[in-house]
Amino acid sequence: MHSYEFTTTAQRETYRPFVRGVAATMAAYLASPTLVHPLELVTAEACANVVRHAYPEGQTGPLRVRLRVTPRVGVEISVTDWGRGCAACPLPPGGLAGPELPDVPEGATSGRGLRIIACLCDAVTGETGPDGNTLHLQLAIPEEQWRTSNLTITETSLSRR
Amino acid sequence: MAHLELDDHGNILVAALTGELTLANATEVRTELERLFGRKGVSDVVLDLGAVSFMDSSGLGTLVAASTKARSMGRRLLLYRPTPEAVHTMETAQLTGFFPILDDEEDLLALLPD
Repeated sequence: MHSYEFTTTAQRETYRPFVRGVAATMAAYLASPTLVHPLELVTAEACANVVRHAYPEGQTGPLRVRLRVTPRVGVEISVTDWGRGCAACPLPPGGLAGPELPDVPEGATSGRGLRIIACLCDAVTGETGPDGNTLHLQLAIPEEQWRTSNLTITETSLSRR
Repeated sequence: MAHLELDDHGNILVAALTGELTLANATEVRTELERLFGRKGVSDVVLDLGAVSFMDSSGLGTLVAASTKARSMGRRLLLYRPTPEAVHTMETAQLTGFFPILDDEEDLLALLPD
């Protein structure tokens, strides 16, 4: 298993470059760059939830993403904030599963982020503790979607644990 | 950030969006789309998504809001050549069918006045 950790400040203006960095790390493991889209989308939705809901209006705070890649198996993406946590964005006790989520009215302008996460992830759980409020996203990746050549992961601005 | 480039066809405006459509710029894009619908004589705004590299649920929410506003004014927001990734995001969010979609240039030319 390969583990990475990324940290930034939860801000509307800066979270996308941050998520693109996480996505680039995941893309390096995959057979084609387009395969990273669902991984980038769920990471972006989870980080956007932190930007929108975790900290009081007008304030910012830390945002951390831990990425665990198990080649030929899947990835776990853990998104952590130190703000109001799941109170602003509650999860069912057993985690998220697509069929359990209420439908979002067609004309609604928000509320689709968690549905997207639930639909694309194999497991979603949340926890609140001394080390912040964390949303854990697990995605299995089929064998044929992994890069088959020798993996060379360049670590530049990333901090690998 | 995102950039809208306009092509004026009388009552139809084609607005090409480049970059991303996410929480980072959703409010800005919504304001711009609503401004376009406020133009005198405009019936349809065609939003060209062919060069949009990434769209999330906040971006979709902006399109839903702009489309709803347009409908309330008797106007339409149409999406032109969304990328496969954007279509996937719409499908996952269960918004397939909410927007009129022009898949290609042939569809666009059929809409534009001669």
